[in-house]
Amino acid sequence: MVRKTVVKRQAVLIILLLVSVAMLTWYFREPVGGVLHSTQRGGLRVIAPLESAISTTTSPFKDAYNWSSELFAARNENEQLHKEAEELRNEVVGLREAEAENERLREMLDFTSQPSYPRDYKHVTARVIGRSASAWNATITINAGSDDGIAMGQSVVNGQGLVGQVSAVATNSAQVLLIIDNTSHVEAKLQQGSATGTVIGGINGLLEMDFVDKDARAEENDVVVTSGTGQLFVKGIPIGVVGEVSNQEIEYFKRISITPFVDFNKLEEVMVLIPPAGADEPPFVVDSG
Amino acid sequence: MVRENGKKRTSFLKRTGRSRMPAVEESPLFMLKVFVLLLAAVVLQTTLSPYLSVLGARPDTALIVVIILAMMRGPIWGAAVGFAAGFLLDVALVQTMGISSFLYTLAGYFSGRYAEGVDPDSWLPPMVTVFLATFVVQVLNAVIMFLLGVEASVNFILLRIVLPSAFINALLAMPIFVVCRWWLGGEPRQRVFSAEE
Repeated sequence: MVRKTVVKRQAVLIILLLVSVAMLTWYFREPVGGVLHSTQRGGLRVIAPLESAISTTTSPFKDAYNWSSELFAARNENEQLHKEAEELRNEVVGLREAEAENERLREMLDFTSQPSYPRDYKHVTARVIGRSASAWNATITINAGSDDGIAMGQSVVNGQGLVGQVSAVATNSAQVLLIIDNTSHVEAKLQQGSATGTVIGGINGLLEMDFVDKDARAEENDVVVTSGTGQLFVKGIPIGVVGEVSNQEIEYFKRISITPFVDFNKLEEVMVLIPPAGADEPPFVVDSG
Repeated sequence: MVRENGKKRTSFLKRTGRSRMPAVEESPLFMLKVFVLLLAAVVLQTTLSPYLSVLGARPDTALIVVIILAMMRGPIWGAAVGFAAGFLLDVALVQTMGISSFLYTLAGYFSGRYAEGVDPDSWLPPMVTVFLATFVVQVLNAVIMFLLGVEASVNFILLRIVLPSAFINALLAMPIFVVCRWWLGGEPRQRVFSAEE
């Protein structure tokens, strides 16, 4: 009796483990339109309304939690902001001068043939209803999907800068791969200077710009924006500022750590940029490892 | 072999003075309750757990529920609900399918095995089991991620992912244990090995 039970339970374990491994292999091998991917999209369609309902119900509690945690940081931030405001006032004077100059130069150059972000783009505002539950993935689920015009590969931003790229779409929801995910790659450039490279996420939630030419100029606090290369992301979206610059002789390229503009822990609403009708949909590309 | 020949189990039951627990029939209603429980755990994990993070680690409510069900109903149930919870989680998070199912199946099975030798009414075993199972699942997950090409330092994985996750899951084990027993009707754990065997 005992032996029979032991055999039965071991058989169940082995079968379930084999099914899991088969599913894993199949998932990697099949195309995006395959059975398992379709099952995921179908499941997401069912689960998304539940997530949305819970997210809405608990929203006041989350706001209260955020408010109380932010209160402690507010005092230090206040002092810091006073200092920054002083510096910014001086900077604004210089920037107004530069803006006028920029406008004159812009008129001189014929930019009309260039894609002009974001004028031609429409946007869909969506609420964050789910987040990846482990440190290994950095994704969010939003409450807008293909019914709202969202498609794979579209850029996702908020008021602070680039958030990520649409990585899966159901009719009423979509998943966004955040730029801090370790599979995310964003072609970027420094706003000041000519340095270009690829911004890569990491499991520690930090960003790094790799494949930067060793001779390219990069200084702390330089602003990093999307370069639009390969049309994976809309050109010119702010990503973050340069932190540390590593220029080791044994490496072929310069590595730059980047502090993102977006606070990924407090994402509540995002905007998905919808390309104009007739434009090519951006391809969705991630490093599959 | 020692655990499976019945001798150790017999001595444990004699020591605690417990008689054989009655086998519980799995009615369709019970199955439905388990499914609802798993679905709720997965949805909570994707919506609320990011707000309960400790040192960057987030509670894994689905894993906790799997372990508690395994402790209440034994290894076969543990493996089955582990597989189902992993499947639901991979669907909800649009993750690579199969990884969570594999890990949760193992966690459910071995938690069920471990629970056969402990007092079902004690508060400590669920916490210890959840802590150990989370630790092992996170380490295995790290190994899988490493094999898939994700780079991270061992210190970072241990101090920022594995240990905080195990601690926060262990802390949540008792409240979730109480909720599970209430929702499922406080069914006692089904013992496969008993004094009579």
